[in-house]
Amino acid sequence: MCHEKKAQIYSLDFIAAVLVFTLALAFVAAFWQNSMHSARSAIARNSLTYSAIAASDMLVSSPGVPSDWEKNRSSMASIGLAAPGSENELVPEKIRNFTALADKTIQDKLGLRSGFYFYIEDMQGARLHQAGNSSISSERVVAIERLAVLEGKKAKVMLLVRE
Amino acid sequence: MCASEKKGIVFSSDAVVAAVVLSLFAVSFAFLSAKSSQESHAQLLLKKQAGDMLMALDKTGGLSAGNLSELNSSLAQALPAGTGWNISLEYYNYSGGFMLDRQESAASGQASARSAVSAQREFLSLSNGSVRHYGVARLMVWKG
Repeated sequence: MCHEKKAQIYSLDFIAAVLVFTLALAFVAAFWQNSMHSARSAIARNSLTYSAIAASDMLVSSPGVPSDWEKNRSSMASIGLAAPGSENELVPEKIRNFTALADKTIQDKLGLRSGFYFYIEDMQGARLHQAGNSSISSERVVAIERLAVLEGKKAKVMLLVRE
Repeated sequence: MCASEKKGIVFSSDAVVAAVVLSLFAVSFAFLSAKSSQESHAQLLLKKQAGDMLMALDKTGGLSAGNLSELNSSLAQALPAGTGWNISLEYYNYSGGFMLDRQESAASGQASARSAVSAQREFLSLSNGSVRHYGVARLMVWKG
């Protein structure tokens, strides 16, 4: 003989289960939201850091295209401050032409999407050349420090890019 | 046959869907966590700074001179604050083959194995236009 029992809902059990499930779901949703927010801002910062490193590389390691662009600024396809065939050895003439360019031109040529400040200082901290907006130093920035040689002496090359 | 005596069955498609959804969740979480990690860029920059340092030391004659106290002060001054280093220099003579002539090394402290990166540069030490030594410089740097 088979027992044909009817189904029953134990309302108290059901309410408790729904409550626990809702709490767990809310906790997971809040955690997920928080994680996504942190991940999104970290990814944006990483992408900015990566483009700042690439821009600093372009400046200290390459002579630019053409390699004598400083003689005719309008022919410049890409910026670089290094002597041809000599990475990290900066050419004063290139630097002077670079700092005379409009900020927007530099930003576009370096592939930066936000404001920047660039400077070169000697090992005693005296600022020798600069370009861009110096006021961004007080904001949230990604700072890339590189070392190069300028007129036979070591020099620090700094590139600050606004977040 | 009555309903209560039916055998239970596993709905395998439900289980597969659940497993797929769980895997997607785990993979996307791991992917985003990895992508948002700051570590790789910090290491990349540190490696570039180590390369810059060796290049600058070579071009300003620091490597060929091999004066350790000067190298130490150059490194302390030029590397970003909070960066530790360990530099080793090897000088070779060449007569039918490379023979190690001397070896120098200096360090600012104990390397942090987790974050240390290194760079290497080969250089020439010249005297009156002729090669005195063939050198290899290795610089290990780390943060903290």
